[in-house]
Amino acid sequence: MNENMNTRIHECESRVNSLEQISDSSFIHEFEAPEIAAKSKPGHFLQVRISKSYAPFLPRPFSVLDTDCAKGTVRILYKVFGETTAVLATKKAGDSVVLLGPLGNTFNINRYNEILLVAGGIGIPPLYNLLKNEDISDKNVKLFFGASSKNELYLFNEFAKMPINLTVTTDDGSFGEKQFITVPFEIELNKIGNKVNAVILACGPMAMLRTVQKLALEHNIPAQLSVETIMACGIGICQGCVLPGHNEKKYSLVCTDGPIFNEKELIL
Amino acid sequence: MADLSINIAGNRFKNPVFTASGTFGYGSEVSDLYDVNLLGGIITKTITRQPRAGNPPGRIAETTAGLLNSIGLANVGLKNFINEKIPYLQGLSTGIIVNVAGESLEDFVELVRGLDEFNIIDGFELNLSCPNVSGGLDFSTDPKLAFKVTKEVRKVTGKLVIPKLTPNVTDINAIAKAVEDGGADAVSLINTLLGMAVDIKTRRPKLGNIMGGLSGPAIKPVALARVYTVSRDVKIPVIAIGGICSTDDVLEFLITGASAVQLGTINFIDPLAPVKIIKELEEHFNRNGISSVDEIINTIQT
Repeated sequence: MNENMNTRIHECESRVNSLEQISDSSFIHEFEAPEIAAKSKPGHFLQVRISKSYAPFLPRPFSVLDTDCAKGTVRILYKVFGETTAVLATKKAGDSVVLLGPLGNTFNINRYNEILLVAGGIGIPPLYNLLKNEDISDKNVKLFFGASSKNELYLFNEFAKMPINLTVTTDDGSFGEKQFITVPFEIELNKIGNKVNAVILACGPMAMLRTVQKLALEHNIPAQLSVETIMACGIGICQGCVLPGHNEKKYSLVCTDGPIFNEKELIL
Repeated sequence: MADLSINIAGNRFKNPVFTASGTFGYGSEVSDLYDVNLLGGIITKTITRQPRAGNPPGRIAETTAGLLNSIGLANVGLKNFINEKIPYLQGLSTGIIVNVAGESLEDFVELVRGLDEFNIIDGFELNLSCPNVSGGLDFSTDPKLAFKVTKEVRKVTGKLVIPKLTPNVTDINAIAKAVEDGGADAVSLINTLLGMAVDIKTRRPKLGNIMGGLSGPAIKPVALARVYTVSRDVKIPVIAIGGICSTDDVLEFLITGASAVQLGTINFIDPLAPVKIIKELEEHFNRNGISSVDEIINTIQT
């Protein structure tokens, strides 16, 4: 019914192309969604609805891991955490889900040549999307990737092949240094000083983002922080997903003002 | 071909499917998804005289077939609504009902007075009953106050006046009759049911405001019962709200006595639901030889 409109957001009943288990509780799903694939950019998210019944009731937001416009596919990477992800992880090739997207805003690295990426565990997808889909050939890219343990350093082998400088930590010391990723990240910031064309991009747990935000402000380096909250609609109509911010409205909507915010916008 | 159009107190709408206040923003948000002119009408997010930031998070919590919210009437306020939102609405050909809320009688009157000059607005829904802000609830729980606010608003506008009623009362029929006596053109019901959810790990309420409004399919039977009793007690049309998610749900409410419906929480689940339902409703009418909405309203067999 909306084929004739030049819509920015698409809803589609989407066929599962593949389901890959990448750790004990983590999966990569590939969906057929040509319209969404064509319009999605790094940083965008999708709403995924797994059932037409009302259990679970709300769709769930997932960062786009990557897209393949030629194939018309979009992938997400997620960890089974609650009811929705548990059911989602049973959806095999040929099954269908309903997707809504692309949603939210996107990363922008055009005017920077020193790119500092900070990822915490399951926060990696939008940063992977950026590295895969943006031209970084003339940029100096450093990825700081922290996870609870070795098997949650998702897509590590792919990052190892990329033309980037990779630093890894784990909480349990099973790979890399046993510390928070913000520790080597801070050392790096101290090293580079306040280069005018450096930018920080981060996605991960709130505690990590809070530290990254603080460091970005202290070092006067712009940051693009991708955050997550409990969300209902994903398109700005329910006003449910707010985080406190510094703007005149007092709160920012994660779904449409974000999910990416600069270092000065939110009170994390 | 079936005619889906309806008439509420002399105002014609394309079809009986509206989008409920607080579940559709100011309309423009959804225009990225479909042509909102297909709707019978849009009920805007509640407007208050001054902008409201809304309640602190968490503002929403999923429950069994339902959603709890404590948004707290976050809105841009009257002045910004006129400057920023009306221009978009003026480009639309669907029905526009502006939902307004105040903490005082004067608030309601001034809001309606301030918006009455805009031709694009077909009417006002009076939010007498938001459970998330103090002040408003009194108007919807006391028949005398509900009568008074309706009567005073009636004096300042010739457009539709539609009080929205809360189910969180002992006798919703008494309130409905009071606003009818006050000059209301229709009533819409039900607003959300007061509810609560608790996180057992943190032992904290899931909503920042502790309690909030429950919506979604979980409340549909409650809404249906209220529509059934109220539509038998008042002569003015009843616009049904409460967990309506499908074409069958719409038919169920029309059969029970509603003259029109509002789709609310389903917009968060499937934002295209309203246009799908309108199309299916027309197909249902054609298939079953129903030529107009009036033919099906209040045809319940008891």
